[in-house]
Amino acid sequence: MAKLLRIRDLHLRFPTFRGTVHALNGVDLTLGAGQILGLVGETGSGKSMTAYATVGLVPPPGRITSGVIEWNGRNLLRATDAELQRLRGQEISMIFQSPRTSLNPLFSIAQQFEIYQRAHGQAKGAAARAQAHGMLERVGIPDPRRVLRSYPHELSTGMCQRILIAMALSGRPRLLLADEPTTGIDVTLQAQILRLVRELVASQNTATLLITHDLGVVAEICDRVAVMYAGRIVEEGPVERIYGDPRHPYTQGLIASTLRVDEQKPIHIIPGVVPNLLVPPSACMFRERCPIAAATCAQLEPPIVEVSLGQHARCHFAADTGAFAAAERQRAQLAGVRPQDLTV
Amino acid sequence: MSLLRVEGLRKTFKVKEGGGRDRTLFALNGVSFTVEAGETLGLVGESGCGKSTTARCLVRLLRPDAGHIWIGDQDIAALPEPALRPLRRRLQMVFQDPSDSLNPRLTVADAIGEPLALHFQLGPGERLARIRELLALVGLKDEHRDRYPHQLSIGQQQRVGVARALACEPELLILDEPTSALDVSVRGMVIRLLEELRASLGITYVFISHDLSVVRHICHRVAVMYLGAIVEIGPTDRIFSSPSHPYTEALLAAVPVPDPRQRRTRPILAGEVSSLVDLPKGCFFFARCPVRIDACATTPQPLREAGAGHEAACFLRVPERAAV
Repeated sequence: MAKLLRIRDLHLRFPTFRGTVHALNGVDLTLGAGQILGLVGETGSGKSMTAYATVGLVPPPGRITSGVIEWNGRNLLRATDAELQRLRGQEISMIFQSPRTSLNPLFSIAQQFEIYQRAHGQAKGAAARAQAHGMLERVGIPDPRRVLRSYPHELSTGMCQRILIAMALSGRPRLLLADEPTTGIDVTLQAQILRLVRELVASQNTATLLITHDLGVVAEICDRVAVMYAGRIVEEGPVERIYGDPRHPYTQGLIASTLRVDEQKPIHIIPGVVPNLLVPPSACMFRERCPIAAATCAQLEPPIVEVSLGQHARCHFAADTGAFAAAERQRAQLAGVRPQDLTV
Repeated sequence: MSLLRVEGLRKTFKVKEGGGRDRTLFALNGVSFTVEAGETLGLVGESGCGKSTTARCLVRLLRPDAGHIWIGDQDIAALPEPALRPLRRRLQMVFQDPSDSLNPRLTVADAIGEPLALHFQLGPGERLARIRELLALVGLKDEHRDRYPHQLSIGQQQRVGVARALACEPELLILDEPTSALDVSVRGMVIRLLEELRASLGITYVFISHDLSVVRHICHRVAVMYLGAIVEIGPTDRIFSSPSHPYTEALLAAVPVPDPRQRRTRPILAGEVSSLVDLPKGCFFFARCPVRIDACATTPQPLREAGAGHEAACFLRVPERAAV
């Protein structure tokens, strides 16, 4: 499959008065048309920054220090602001986490749709209104005529998120960046929105990057998943492989810590805390919390290992099944430790 | 006797609409349940179902319009503030976002010391000893004592929130979404801590959450709320493995499972939660119910017994039994 988006060795720094925050430390990512890639990780792992960097919206004082973001064979890091502005909305669209703050409270939905369409050189006048009406219908909004006349405060959160999805997809973008689109939304509504995104991107063959911290959401709609830790992707591959046979100890810990509604199991904990990115650890970033860390992990940058077809892990022991057994034993032991005695 | 007995709790709010019209929002519409000493009751449901309003009534941050809240043999539902104060010691609350609920200008020791000063006559030495004891209880170190909230991680902040609630030795802890603001690995630690404290202190929890997987893990019994009423209540295993109410079923089916092999094809609950201003006349769940019949629109649905300690408010799923 042709790769539309290719990110290579992306580094992003935030100079602050306390020092430089190393937000992204060599992100590698590829995404093809019609694919949904889940980007997961905990707060501060760099998920959102990866998306913002892709569309040239890194908030100041953030600066991309090295790397390549290739869109359709072009390096976006060399694109001018005007070129990026044209790409955003036309070829690349974004949905954000809080639907309420993404809409302007002072304008009606029809006006906001029009502003959006005009900015991206889409239909005008009556044709634009017909298009907006049609898109709202497609995202399952009853009575689009009334909704177009409404202001955001008159609509529910779920309605607002549907409208934003309708806007984002109205220009038939080739890439959709969805940043936690269902976080803070009730589960029944989340199920509706996820299904909607899946159907729309399938029908328009949109490449989609879905950012979430919820492994359930990824399992539900993604084809591939990339796991981020401390500004790096530590494991990436087809969802069935990553959930069925994770090879990075962090992915394993993350999956083990996820509680499930369909079964009751002892709760797992990844001991320790995420590293301070003002002083990122050398070599393997996960080694301080890793159940199988060895001397090499502090000395050598872990290589990216292809552990199975299309599944890559950034770990010295990714191909070592003996090491997994050790990690499993360690996790079992931790289950017996008093929570007060674990580092926080 | 139950530690907590809630009977027919009702709460309305006045909301202003355009044109200066006042309307009434029916937040709680007759909520009843009991909590036994040492158990954990989960309150679940979508936004606006009344979970947090119930919690706020229980600790009397809100005064219910009608109903009773029995703590032991005392009804606190309508007690005036001065009479309430000594009782507040017995029930405490832990809030969702510790960065919001901790005062940024108080050190950890001050935050934990405040309830101690209010409820106990302690000398400075005793007070310090008690603060140290509480810190150890929640897994914080002595060095954390002089820190301010912004110098702590969010997991540590939530531990301070728990320590502060435990300071006055409550019998009942109301936990309002205590893990919702936390990442997976931190969430696990806080849940383990809560379980450990329950076992060692014999404390009782009312655990409010929209996260059903956490509820399944930590609660003994679960009450499912919809439009300010309980539609199903029962032992956790029963509720999760064989729910009786169609809403409980739909809610459980909507939770994504972290296993791509179990990708769902089952129907998704359509529509959104109805308005709390115009309450439905019959079954509250009528508008969205996949199994409704015409009679549901006009027949109010009280809770009916569906098994041992298990009740559900659906006359289609739980037929009336012959009077015993």
